[in-house]
Amino acid sequence: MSEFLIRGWNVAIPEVDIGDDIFVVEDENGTMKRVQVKTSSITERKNAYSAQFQIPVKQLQKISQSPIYYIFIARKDDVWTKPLIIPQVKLFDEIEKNNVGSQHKDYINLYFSYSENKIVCSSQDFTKYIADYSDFPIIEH
Amino acid sequence: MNAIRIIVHKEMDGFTFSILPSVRDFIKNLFPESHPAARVYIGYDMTSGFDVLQSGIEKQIYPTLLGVEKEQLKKQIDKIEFINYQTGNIEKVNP
Repeated sequence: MSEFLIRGWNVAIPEVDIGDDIFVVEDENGTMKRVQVKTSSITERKNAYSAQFQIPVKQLQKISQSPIYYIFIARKDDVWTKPLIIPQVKLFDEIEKNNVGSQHKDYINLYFSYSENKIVCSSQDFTKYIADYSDFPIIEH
Repeated sequence: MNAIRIIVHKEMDGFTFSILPSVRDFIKNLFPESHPAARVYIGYDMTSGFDVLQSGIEKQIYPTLLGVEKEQLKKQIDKIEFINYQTGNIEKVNP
């Protein structure tokens, strides 16, 4: 939330848990984006570490006029990793086109492997999504 | 077979039609002059009883969402599906 505020966006948290963690709003024009934050602890690997996240299939498939942005953050050595910010449609596309993740019942499991400055999931490079705030440009007030 | 999937999401006061990035790229490759959008939203009065999927709306959706007129699409696209994941239905299959 603080990162969005620093970038000049306004943020709101729903009173009732409806699935979206944060509403991020550009006050001037009313642009609203929905943000879903996913956190995980890491598993150490040799020269790398991994983290697993789950996304409800039904949530991923519902592309509304205000699509979701997923933010994946892992906890390593009492510090949060840089956020991986992926728009819903791009994640959906990766899953459909490149078989990213694995489905189990009503969830898609995403297994991210972190090494140096690279993040890979199901052999697909997700590095470009690290701290990708391009859809949340800094707003000057 | 050249096929396109349009995702339909029914909201309380309208419909959102969207295509995935790979579909946008596919359209751009087939129709280099096109400018496909990510999604379009059609809103309507909640009490109007309007059912957008019964109204032949594809004539408006294709040029707005895909950036290509229906007649052009027919020449190169074998199938266009409108998929509603909420119901699991394929609402329309065109052309």
